Amino acid sequence: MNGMPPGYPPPGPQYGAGFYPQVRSRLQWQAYVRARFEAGQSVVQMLAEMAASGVSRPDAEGLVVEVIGAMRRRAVTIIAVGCIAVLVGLAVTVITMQAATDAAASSGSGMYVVWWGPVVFGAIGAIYGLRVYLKIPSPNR
Amino acid sequence: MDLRGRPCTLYPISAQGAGVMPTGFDFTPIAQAYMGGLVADLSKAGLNVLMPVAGAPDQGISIRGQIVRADPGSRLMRYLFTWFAGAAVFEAEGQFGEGTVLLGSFHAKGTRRAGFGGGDSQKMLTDAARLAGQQTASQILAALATR
Repeated sequence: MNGMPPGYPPPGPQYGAGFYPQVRSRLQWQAYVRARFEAGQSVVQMLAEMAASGVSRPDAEGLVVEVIGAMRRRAVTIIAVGCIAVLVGLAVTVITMQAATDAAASSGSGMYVVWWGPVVFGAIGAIYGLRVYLKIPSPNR
Repeated sequence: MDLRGRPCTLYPISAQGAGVMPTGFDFTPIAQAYMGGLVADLSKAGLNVLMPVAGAPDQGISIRGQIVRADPGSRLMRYLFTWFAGAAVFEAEGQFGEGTVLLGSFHAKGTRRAGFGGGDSQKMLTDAARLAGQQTASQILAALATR
């Protein structure tokens, strides 16, 4: 006996807080899966939750792969834009310093620009993007 | 298709199954902003937008939508990485039809990324919801115009 009255089926999976079967559209699942991954949930936990909500295994796996791909593309874009900003900031600084050195050699004075904004904020952006990328779970675990 | 004076039954946006919902502040004005943006633009096009009446059949075109996500984002992230992170996003999807005939579906997404000092999250999400409502209306009107 499992504590249930005779004739009842065995109890189903036990749901804790935030783990209730949900009827969702594909877009709603995508948004939910992304939010859960951003919160640190593993792929295994996510697949179990989707299975408990009645999503078939192939559908769930396809959705997880799709979401992980989109998250990776976003993180890579942030890293790339951050790195480009750093490079542009450094290039402007180096080029104007070189021009100022040449001008100082010929006329005694020169002016250069230290374009620190793109360097600092680009670096912060790239580090943030890298952090986002590293938090994305692998579809195989 | 001439839409002037045509009745349209608009169901309140449903939060059933939403992927992300805001916590910590009142969601009612956000849903109202979405509905407000949608009703204003449908009315501008000439549709007579009506609320559904319990037990009575829908009049004219009926529109049903649900929230995909209502994410207030993060003020700190918007402040630090304005164009990359922390955006307030309101996303909705749904279908519209007449009687038992499905006329089409919509998927609208309103995003707000920038505000003074990162911007107040509730206000940003409300603005994003209004944008999504307007986008929904334009998708529905475009689909109806081709019929």
